[in-house]
Amino acid sequence: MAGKKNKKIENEGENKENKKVNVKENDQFNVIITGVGGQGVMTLGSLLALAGHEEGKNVMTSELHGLAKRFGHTEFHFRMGNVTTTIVPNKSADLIIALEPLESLPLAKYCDKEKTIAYIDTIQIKPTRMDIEGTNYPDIEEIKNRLKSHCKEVIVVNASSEAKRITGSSTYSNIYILGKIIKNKHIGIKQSTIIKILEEQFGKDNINITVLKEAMKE
Amino acid sequence: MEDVLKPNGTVLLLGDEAIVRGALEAGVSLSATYPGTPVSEVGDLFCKISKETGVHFEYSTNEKIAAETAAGAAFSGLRSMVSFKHFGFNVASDSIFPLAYHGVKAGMVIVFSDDPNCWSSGQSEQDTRYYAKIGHMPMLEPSDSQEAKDFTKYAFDLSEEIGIPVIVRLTTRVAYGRSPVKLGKIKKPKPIGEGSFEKTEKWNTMPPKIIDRHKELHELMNKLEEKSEKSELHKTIDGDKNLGFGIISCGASFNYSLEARNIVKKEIPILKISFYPYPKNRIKEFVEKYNIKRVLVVEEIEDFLGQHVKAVANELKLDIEVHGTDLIPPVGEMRTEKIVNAIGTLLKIEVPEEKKTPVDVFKRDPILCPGCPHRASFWNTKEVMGRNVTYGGDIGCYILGIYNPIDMQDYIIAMGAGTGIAHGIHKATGKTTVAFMGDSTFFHSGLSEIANAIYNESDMIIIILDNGTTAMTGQQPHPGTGNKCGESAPKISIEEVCRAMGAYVTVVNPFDTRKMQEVMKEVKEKKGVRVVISRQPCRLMFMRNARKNKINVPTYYIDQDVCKKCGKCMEYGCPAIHHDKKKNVYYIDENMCWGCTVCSQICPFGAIKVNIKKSEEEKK
Repeated sequence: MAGKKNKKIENEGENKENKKVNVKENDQFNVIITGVGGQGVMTLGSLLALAGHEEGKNVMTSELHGLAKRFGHTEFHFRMGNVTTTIVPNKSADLIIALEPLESLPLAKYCDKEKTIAYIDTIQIKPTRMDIEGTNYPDIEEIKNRLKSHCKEVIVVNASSEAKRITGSSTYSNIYILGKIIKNKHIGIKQSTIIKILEEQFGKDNINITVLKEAMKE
Repeated sequence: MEDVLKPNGTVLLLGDEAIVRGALEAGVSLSATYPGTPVSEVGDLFCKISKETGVHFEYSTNEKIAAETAAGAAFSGLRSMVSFKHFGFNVASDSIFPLAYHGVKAGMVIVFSDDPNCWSSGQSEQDTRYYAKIGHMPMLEPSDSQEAKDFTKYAFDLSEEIGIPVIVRLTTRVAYGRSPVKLGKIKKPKPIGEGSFEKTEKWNTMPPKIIDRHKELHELMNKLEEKSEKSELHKTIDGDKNLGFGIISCGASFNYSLEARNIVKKEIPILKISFYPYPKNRIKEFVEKYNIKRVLVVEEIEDFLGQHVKAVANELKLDIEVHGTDLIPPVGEMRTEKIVNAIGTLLKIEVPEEKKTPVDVFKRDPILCPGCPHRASFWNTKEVMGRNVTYGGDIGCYILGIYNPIDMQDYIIAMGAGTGIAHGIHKATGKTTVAFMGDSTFFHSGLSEIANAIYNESDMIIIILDNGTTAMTGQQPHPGTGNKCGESAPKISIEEVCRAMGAYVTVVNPFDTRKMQEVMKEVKEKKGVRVVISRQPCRLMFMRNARKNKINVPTYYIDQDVCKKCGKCMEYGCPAIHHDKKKNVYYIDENMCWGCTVCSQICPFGAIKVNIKKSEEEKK
């Protein structure tokens, strides 16, 4: 375990396209992906984990399975670099990816005004309890502003509707939002690595790659 | 190829997957389980790779039988593994406790996971480590995937060396944490069928011999303690002797301790304990080497290790204050922040303030899937039986029926317990009771529950929610499904079994609300034990198959011209049906609707209609 503390991030030299990102030797990069169970939180998390590992980085992740996932709040913690645990500590998230806007708010404790960048999709999945309690789903601007008070930047992406436009299904919103993140250089993982993993998992020229490339275009 | 089967290199594995790899490197021949989160993936992975590796894998009908199957293999000279969640250990304990007395010929490893914070287990926040003490068995506690693999492999060797089973304890974050694992060589398993059971006097477990054996077990545990003193599984993180302070930790808590140490920027020495029976001298040496006056014990759930450290301090007359549960309450999951705060208190230093989630943040609870047949069964039952009946809950996705607006799980205790307790309530109150039970639960422990209810002349309606799978843990097969790990298997008919036991049995489709409600009215009038089998496939499984086979499932919508805004559809509690209070509009979220048709039957005005376009596409 003592060795892990000083684990170096390999391939750092060739990682030129990600220079802007604050992944450096002896540093860490913390991502939390959230959404409603069934939206593809785990799929996106596993994809990032495999890609990070492929690039020779020390990767640790945490997820939950089973009952915890049934259309409830879901989190996937993805950590790269000099890390010893699978859970992102308070105020240590570099990147938040919310596949559903409301689900981003419980992550406030992980956010830091100095560094956290948050991406939120606009699709609204209204919780049944809101219907029971007779409250309306809050306005996306309200959610954005609340999150903004904890983050350096909040970026709203119409990932679900764009994914639906491209593929006919909003299922691929997770890949679309990832495409935007890579395009904006907000994560230290190369597009080519993501494509390599997607090809390994789903075959060449699969629909995920189309969505990823489309998201990176505009 | 599955990463877990790669011949060498470093791969990223879940803790559960690493357990499987460790077993493969140890040459495991047989593995059995009853699925339970957070270790379901151990069994599921064995199921997937069973053919390729030659490891015989079984989904047993319950944890006790899984443990017995593994024990039988180990008695016969084949290395075996059994895995279950912490509650599963309770079920299996009846057969596991005598195993140390009896002994095993080949290595047998028992893997379980506790679930601090009850992420996927209600009912109790149990610390199962105490079983190692009562069962006189060694227990290893990994903190990440690499250790999960290495410790599992070692557990087989140790078990074979000492002739009793060895326990590997996980917690949720180890089971569901991914981290890099440096692979070792996979060992070809001894082929299944080639084991041999030899009759031996040694395995006579009757008194008075068993009392002698108990004595031997205590001696063995003492020997194991000496082994633990020298074990390389424990680790010391070097630190500053001038602090007069150190941390003793185990499992995932060790990793959080390391992180906390980095956050407070103090070189705190840490002793990680991984091998039960816990060492004494290692603790003494640690305390003396680092000039420790105050020690913080960091562990998940109860103070199992903490009590040991206190005992050691007392026995070896160490001049130390032992802290632990006084600063970090033995409740919920360990977090780095809890340790940071405790260090701040003990070292009297400023630590970063803990940031909490704002209290007014909306918490989204898990909910039954849209189109879930359980919801329909609950609805039809409630419509007929009303609210003044006791509804016995049980373990499965249907525990989510406890939430509003369903509210039909008046108590939930354990697998099968819904029926047993319903019987007791009936005897105590003289009233007819209703108990729900899943199909997998029926085979797990429901059979004997129903036999008891019939034999002791109960008066109850047992509703078996038969969705054709063990849904909650990831859709594993069971004896009622006719398959096992992708192959066909003997299929046991739930209705025939119940009829043979003497119950009045009827089978219904919960999506046909009129029919099911008629059936409920009919059984309501009867006396004795009545079994209603409410049969409809798990909607999650159904939708996955539909997507795979490119079948379009038509969705439903609310015709605003017909809707009288009575709000009855909302009482159904489907996550696809909503009410915009501002506009007073009831609507169905098309992205969420899984087309079960039930809401269209519930609407008294026929306002809920099928999306014709999709339906026609399907016909094409």
